[in-house]
Amino acid sequence: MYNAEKFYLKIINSIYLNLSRTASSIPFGGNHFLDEVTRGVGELILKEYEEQFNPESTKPSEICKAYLKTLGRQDFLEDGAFQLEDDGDSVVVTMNPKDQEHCIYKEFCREAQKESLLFYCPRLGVLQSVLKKSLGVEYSTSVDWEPESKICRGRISPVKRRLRTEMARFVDDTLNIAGERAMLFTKDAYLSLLTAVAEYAPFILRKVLFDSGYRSFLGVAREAADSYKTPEKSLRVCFEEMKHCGIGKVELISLDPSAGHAVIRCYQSFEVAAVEDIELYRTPRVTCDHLRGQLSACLTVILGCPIICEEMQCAALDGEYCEFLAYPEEENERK
Amino acid sequence: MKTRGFFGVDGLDQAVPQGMEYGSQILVYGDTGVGKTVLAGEFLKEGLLCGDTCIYVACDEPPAVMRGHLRDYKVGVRAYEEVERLLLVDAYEEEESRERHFIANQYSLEKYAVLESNLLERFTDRRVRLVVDSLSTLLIPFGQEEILEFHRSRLKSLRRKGILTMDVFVDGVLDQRVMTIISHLYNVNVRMMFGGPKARPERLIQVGKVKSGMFDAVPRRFGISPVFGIIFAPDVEV
Repeated sequence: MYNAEKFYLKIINSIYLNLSRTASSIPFGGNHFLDEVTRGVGELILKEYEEQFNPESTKPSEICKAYLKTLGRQDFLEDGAFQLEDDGDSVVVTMNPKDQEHCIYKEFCREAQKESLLFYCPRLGVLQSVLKKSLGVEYSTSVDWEPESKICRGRISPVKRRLRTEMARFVDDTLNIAGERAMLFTKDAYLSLLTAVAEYAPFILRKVLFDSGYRSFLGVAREAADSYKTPEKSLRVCFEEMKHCGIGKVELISLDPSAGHAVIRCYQSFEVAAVEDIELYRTPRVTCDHLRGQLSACLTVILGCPIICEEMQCAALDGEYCEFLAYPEEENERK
Repeated sequence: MKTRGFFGVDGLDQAVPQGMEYGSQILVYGDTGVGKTVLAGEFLKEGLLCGDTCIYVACDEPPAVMRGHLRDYKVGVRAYEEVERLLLVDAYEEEESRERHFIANQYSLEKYAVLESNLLERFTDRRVRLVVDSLSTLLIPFGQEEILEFHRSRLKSLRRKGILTMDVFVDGVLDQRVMTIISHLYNVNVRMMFGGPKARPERLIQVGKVKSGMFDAVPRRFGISPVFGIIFAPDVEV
């Protein structure tokens, strides 16, 4: 390889690596941003060689093979280095250790893994855009590199559901999230709202926070429940949405779906940070009522019975995290 | 952490702007049906939010009534009971209680004091609120001397232990003279009554801080919302 080629490769890998680093700190889902960038690059390349690309079948793996052959003809890659097979709707792309030496993105790939960064393989990104163009279906990609066998295994799968918060966009000077108008609520704006409620009708404050959290997350919880098979997976997706919204890092500590019981923790709760500089309440107390409402909504929808969460420990009082206990909402016996 | 507690009812809390020290005792007395148990529920809810361990001794009704009352206000009672942050103590059932916590013999004040004290001993490392609803029911069979002696030693012990206590009394159950003496033993007196025209009676409340000699003689109007609990009529005086 000529020095200039080495240099170009270095630049390409550095660009991707820095995109990954930057994407990690982008609000509203750096995942989607990075996915879009890699896919978009693939789309541009596809446009360039579109005329030479003639898949003979609509099988996803055959479409991918046809495209790799097109690139192979340009001496851009060795199309034989990739083993492709169908796995349901997905395509599994395997690369042996020997062939990986020729992967032009390997520097970016290894470094991203070392730094635990968000990672989308540019090669798979090309195939992702080819599949979208050929089949009209949204795909996403993931890569597993097995350190022991040193086998690189990529997967290109249809997207079941994207996080709502990943779909934040500016459209004609308006902010949209998942197609709906949205606005950023700064800490100041949030506090102004809370303070106004506390001033005019203090007795409704907790209820307002709980109910608004509950109602606002019913839709998200329904989508998550419909998209994933296990309650754990659905809950984790909801928690991911919460994190993207800036509510805090929410973790499921334990879950017993049949008993409707869960223990959930939240680190860096926004509600704790919001009230730390003001005296909203007369005495220090648990403060995460909005989150409590969101968690109650998620559990109610995902477990299929009314669940109520209580905040047993709050970082506003003590400790590093807030802890919530959830149990089924018990009905009172009416005579 | 501040070691002062509040009722948890805006309006009522304004009457004690500095809050009440843990170890203080509150006497709540008033007409039947005026909302004493609702106030007790608010006091418990406030305690749960502030991280207190709340003990409710039910003398007039089974503890299930308070459990249901709190559930009506969307309190996740089970979560608090599971970790013993809320203890509903049965001092009502004469036969075997089905509750986890009960005071079996309510016919000896001495025994009651020991059982109550034993229960509180379990939580010496926590901040505790205690509500006895209603203490007047426990006192019915006893004479004046016995009642006063029980009160003096019990309240002294609760103060020493730093328990924020609310004792509920129903009007007309005990002799007025006994009530007057008893009321002087508490830091805060809350009087709840019906007032206004007979056709449209109103709920009224007065708060007095006995030890400081301050008594808010202005009865304030309040209502009971099925969603929010006790709500004071804003800026309205009777």
